[in-house]
Amino acid sequence: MKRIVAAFVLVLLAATGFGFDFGGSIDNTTGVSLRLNVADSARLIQRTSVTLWVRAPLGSWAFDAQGSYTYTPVLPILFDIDRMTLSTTVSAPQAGATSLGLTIGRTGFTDASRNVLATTLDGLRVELGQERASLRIGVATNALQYRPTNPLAISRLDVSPTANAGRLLASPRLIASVDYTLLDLFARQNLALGVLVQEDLRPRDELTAVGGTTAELDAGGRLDTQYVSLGLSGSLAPGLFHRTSYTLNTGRTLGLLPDDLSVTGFSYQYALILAHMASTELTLFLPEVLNSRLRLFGLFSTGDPDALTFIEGNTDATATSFVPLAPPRYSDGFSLKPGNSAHIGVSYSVRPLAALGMDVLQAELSSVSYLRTAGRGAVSEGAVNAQSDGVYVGTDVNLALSYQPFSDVRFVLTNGVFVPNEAVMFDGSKDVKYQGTLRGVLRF
Amino acid sequence: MVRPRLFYVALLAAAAALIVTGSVFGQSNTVIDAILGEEVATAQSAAYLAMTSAGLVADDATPAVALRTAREEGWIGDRGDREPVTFGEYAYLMMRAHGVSGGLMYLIFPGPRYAAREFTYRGWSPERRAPGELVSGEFMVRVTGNMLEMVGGER
Repeated sequence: MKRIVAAFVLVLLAATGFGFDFGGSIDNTTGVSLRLNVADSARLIQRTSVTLWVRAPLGSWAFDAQGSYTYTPVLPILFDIDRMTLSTTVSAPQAGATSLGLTIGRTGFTDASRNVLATTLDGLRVELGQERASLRIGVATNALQYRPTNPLAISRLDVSPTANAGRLLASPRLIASVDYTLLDLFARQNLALGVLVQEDLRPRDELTAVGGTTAELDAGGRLDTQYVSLGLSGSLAPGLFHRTSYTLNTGRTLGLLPDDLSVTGFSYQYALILAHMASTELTLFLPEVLNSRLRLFGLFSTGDPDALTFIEGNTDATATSFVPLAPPRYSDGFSLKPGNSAHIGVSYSVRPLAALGMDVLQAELSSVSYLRTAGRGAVSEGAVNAQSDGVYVGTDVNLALSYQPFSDVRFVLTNGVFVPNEAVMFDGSKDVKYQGTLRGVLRF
Repeated sequence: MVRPRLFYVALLAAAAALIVTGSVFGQSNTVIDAILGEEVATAQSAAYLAMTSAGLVADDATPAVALRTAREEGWIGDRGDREPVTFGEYAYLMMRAHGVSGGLMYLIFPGPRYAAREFTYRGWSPERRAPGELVSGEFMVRVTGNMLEMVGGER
């Protein structure tokens, strides 16, 4: 075995010559999360990752891989490949393009709105760059990812702690996307049009059959979704930038729907998904004021008042709750995914020592308020009672202090509180939640 | 004569133009013209850029003298004048010549590896390069200009 590894390293070194590079990082987050005025609610937060990466040119291609070991109390042993790609960029005048990029392997995939999909998948991406436009085509799957960390856990069987518990890999889904961006179309504005299709590839025998008349635990059907996004981004004034997008979500989802012909009055049937999402973000850079940055952002997504669960919870002919795939988090302590939710947030970041030429400290104060757009029904956080009435869910306020004494060492102290609307929360989640963490990162 | 750093920034920024307009700065310009033409940067060219930009040798000194001085300081290995220099070696040479501090790993293990990382992190290198990668003379001049501009601005 040692000989094989040694031979592999020698071949890699010979093939890559002087361009071979490697490194890694150690990343630890330690903290505490608790509910104020609730005894014994404190929970220790602990996450440690050791990461190793390697980069090597292979002729006109580049090999880039990163693997990590992560410890958390929930998943004490997790070795994973964070990314592993072969990529190349060539000039392609024959194709009417200034550049043609090709990336194969495990890498980051995002949709045009960046609110539907922002995660790592295995696949292929082709990027065609033109003078005033760019075209990006991607095909990817989550089938080779671990089930406990499946980025596309969007059906009941994916998140059920009992169903398929012994299975190592995630339920397979296929993603295909096409994004076309017109650069500087007018008044320094970029127009982006994106189409993303997600196909559920699970075998039929894993799914609940259509026509069943009694409710089943962990019942779930094929969940196929499509997204069409239109986005506008660019500069509005010196130092002021915006990114605005709208996304139409269609698809099909299985649910226990009313059925006059059924003996129970219900049967499992597919329903059309028809949902919408819109978001905007304004960022103002103020370099002359201690390198500060002000950001205002908001998102609105349609909901379904009769959905009793966030995942596959539809109970009538049309599912109107937006179905996100792998959206980003919008705040640290508490965050709602798109789907029967809206949020409006503000953040202000400043580098207090910038004037002294010591750009080692950054402070960021942020606040995000969450709403339930349908006024009732399920949202992505289980702490919110789907059968309660109320639009306002709560507000998350965070203060993050980042100290970087060296280029390869960084500490981030984060303190945040989530103040919930008691009227919409389940018992046990009605009190203010505090979360404080200290993160330390060393790159080597 | 040792010239100030700001003069050097201007010289490097205008280096490409000087090829066309001809020599106005005497030997230093002739040498930079030659460096710009190097497909693979040599040890003496790297030493010349580092040592003259830091004012550690006179700008009318020859590249060979600059390399000998850098070697005496222990900032570059025992290299022949015309031997190629790696990106990491050049970055290390520049950091030592200008007395620029690096990251924690550079503090513990000073050398080309972490010097190259520092150049990438601080944006002095326009692209991410491996420490062992060979670079062109034009790339080296561009990186030097970036570093001097930013370090000069910080001081």
